Amino acid sequence: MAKDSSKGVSSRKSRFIDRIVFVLLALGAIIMIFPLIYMVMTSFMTKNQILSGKLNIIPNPWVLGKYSEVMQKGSFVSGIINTLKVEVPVLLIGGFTSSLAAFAFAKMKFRARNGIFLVLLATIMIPFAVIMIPQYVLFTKLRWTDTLLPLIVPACFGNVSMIFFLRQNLTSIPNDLMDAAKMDGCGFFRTFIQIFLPLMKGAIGTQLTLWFMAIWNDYLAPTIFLRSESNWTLQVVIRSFNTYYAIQSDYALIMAASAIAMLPTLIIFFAFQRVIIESIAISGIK
Amino acid sequence: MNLNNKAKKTKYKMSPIAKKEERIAWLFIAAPIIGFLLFMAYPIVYAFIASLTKWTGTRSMLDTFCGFDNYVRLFSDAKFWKTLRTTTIYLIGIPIGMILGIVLAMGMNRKIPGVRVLRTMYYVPVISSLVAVSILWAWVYNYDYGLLNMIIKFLTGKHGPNWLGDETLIKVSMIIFMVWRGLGNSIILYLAGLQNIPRSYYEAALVDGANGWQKFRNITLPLLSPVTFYILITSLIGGFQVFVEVQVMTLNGGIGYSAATIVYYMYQKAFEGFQLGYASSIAVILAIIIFIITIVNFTFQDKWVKTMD
Amino acid sequence: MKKRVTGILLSIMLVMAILVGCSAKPETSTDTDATTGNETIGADIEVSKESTENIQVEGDYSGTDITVFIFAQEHEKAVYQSLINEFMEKTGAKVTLEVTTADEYGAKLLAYKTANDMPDIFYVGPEAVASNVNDGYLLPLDDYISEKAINDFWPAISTAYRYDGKTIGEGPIYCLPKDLSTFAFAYNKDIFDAAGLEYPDPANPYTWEEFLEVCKELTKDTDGDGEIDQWGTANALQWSLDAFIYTNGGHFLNEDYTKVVIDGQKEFVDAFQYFADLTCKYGVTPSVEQDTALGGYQRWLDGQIGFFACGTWDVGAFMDDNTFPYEWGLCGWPVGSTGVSMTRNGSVGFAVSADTKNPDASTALVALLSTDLEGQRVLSGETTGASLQIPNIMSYAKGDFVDRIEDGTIPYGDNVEVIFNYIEGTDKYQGIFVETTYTYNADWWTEFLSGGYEYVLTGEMTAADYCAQVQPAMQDALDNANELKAAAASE
Repeated sequence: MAKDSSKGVSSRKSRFIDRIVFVLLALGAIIMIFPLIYMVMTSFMTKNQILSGKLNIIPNPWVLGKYSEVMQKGSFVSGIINTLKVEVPVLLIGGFTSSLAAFAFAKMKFRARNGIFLVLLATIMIPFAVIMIPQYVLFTKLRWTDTLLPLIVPACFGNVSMIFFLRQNLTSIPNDLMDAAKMDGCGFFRTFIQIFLPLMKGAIGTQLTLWFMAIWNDYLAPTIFLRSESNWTLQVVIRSFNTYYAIQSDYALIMAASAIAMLPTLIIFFAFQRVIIESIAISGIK
Repeated sequence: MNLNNKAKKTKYKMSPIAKKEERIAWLFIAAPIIGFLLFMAYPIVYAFIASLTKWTGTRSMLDTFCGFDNYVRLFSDAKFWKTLRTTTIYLIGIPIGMILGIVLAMGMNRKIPGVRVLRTMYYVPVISSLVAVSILWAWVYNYDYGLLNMIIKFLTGKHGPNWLGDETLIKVSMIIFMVWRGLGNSIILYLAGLQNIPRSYYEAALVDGANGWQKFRNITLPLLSPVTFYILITSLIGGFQVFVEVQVMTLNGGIGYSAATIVYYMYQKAFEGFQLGYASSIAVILAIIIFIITIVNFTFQDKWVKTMD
Repeated sequence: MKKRVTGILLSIMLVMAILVGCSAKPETSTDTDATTGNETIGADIEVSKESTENIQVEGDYSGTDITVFIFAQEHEKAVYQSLINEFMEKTGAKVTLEVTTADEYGAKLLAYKTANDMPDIFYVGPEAVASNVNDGYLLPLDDYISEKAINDFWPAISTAYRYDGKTIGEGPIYCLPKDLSTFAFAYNKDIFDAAGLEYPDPANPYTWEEFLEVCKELTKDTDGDGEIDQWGTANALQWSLDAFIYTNGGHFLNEDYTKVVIDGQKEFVDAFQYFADLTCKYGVTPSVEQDTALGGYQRWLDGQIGFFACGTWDVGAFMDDNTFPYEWGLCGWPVGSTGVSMTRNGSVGFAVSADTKNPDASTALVALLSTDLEGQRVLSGETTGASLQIPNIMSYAKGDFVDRIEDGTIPYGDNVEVIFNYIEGTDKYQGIFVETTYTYNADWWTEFLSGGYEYVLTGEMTAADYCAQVQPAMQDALDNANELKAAAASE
């Protein structure tokens, strides 16, 4: 904060402070990601090195086989496939219903619009823990607990935070467009598809990316609703790896599995970090 | 949230076109509303009814109706109070994360080259899978072979403490872990907040001869209060739902159940002990707690949350 | 830029998919055993067609539809599936076998109950017989199974599965056993050889004093770096405390299972204190801290532990050189003041749903799965070389089964008679069902485990103080269990 106001004379002092600040920030950043680096390093170590009780970060020797070993575990692969089986329909259908609703809330006129919107928005505050037992009973009675449906169907009805962000995004688009479309006798659905959907493309992309990561990392719902191992999503699988392979002291394998499980979200984050961070930042300042 | 733009225009009679628009709009928002009724509203009502029974999942639920027995029992249930207390203790991580977040965000707000890369590094734990990083940290905290104790041994020559094997330390360990994981998020939010503060405010303060601390105290902090409020609300709601960390990092809630949270206790009662009725009463209490916290937060919001205008 | 990244992403996914290719065949899911939670790490086992060819079934059940729901490891599943195939071929019935893992079984069975859609045949353990009968889920089997067949089971089995609405062990029989297991004690022969010690004598189990002395001899620093790296035994309290409590005449609950009575009970407190002293006073087990770093079971498999618990289901894994490359034998748990070595037995049984439309066909199938000799030969290791259970049929167990162990067909640790001793009971050995078997749920035992018993093992607290401190919470849990039981019974 000092820097902005004190140009010129004190700029050398300011640059010096900058350097110190940078070093401190960098130190903090290294501490932050060090455990993750350690995780990757451990996945390349031998069991003896891991259990040596001495501080060593660099694998010696490097054991490269754990990653292919993980990828050959049937349950790990089926975990990835199951997660994708949830992701695809949810993002397609849920993304569509959410955009449509956001469009209606932002650009169409109907009674109780704001009231309904507020009620939906308030549901963000309802903890999943409160409704998980009734949902479990509901899905059991529907005999869904042997399928992935408990993770797919509710999400297809739309995602409130996505509706909220898209609605915010749409309010910045002038209403003239809407009026022009009405004049032309263009139906609402067509207006949505042909005019607004293309305009929201960027915002929808960002929201779907965030949603993708949330589904990928979800654990509590899958662990409650999915009983058969063949339906487990990736997070449930790596948690079971943690219990099972710890007994064989195969920590390298556990770390390798965890590292692979983190990889997709990391790649996506690095690819889209500018828009993702912007979108997160907006949520804080409304 | 600018919800109050254009209130109701449709007061008296609606034109056929407006009626048609309304019908179509309802159609467009039908999916989230049905979803809400089916998977939110109905379960909440159901949870309350279930909390009045001793249902264990077999035969009929209503046959085991028992009034408020579960709540009476909950009141004298030592484990319930213990987990509630632990859950509250974990909230200490929230102010710690906020303070660190503001400090680091202010550092990043100086236009230093390369700071963007650092920002990303701080954010990586946030988007990492919670299960994976919990597994990782349980290993970091391992008594004999964990990274932390190996570093301690390397530096001091002495064996470090049993991080996850002591009733107090296990809570400290969990809080450190939670702060680590959430820090990137508050940095991003505060950074956005800082960048939103008009430079003119500081220039005016400079004219008045304010020093660095005064500027921070009188400009930065108040103008960041909406962000603080947002972080507080979301972290409190999240804080009362801590589960995965406990489930992955401890065995049966840690020594003497000292790391177990309220949601963990509820999960065990519901899905390991199948006491669905009793677990539902915990769920209802949890909902009430979060409801009260949210109300209190919004009520006292005016007292300390400043807006720019 | 976005397109490029998406392209990269897609190609990564694609490569991942190709790497694993069509090898997406589910792995053998080595799951936990219901009685212990110790995982069996066994060799893959194949069931040959011939081994189940000559099974004995009679009757015509064409047109009937039966669902069987059990938990099983892959090799067990293969055995049951081949028995079921024979059953379908010979009787014309249509049978669907649904298999899950032991961990998920309870929740999935509950899901069937909640949905009111019970399978015709499912597993019920002795601890769940009473609640299932009270809830009206089980069909009494006496009318369908011959007396002779029942009499050839181990006596412990019919005790476990009889229930008259009040007392377990009396009344009609509700299950035929899937297995009867026991939790014996094992020793690592290689460690004994290295220390120059005599092997334990199965005919005369150690007293507590003798056991402590042997453990002291075995606890040492083998590589000379100044730190102990081999211990007499390990402190897996939740599996092995019973063995010390019961042999000392102690018990958790009173006779009608309504009161927790550990506070001030000398037999119990002494046994618990002895168990803790092995760790905190004599240091013949890894410390509590060391145990959190690396568990006792891991250390045993790693050859660091002299004595460790061995369930009948562990034998296949312990005989597998990749899992446990050491020679080992069975012995009795050390003996306390009663003079009898005690341990816990376990069992799971096949039950038939009270709602079944085909009681005749279902009971016939249950009898086959439980008692078919060829099936038993496979499961007990005679055909496969990896023993997962001892045979349900006494005459076979004591005849062919023992002979095959002696001639080496079935790989087994030394002194298999220890297992029989526990299952049948002798003047020096006795296996029992633990007290959770007789209560509506095991919450009171969970309370015992979550009260911070670790402090007794570290020596920060005495066993007597801990018992006094934890008893009220256990009593609460037990009262609640009894209430739930009463509520279920009065429905």
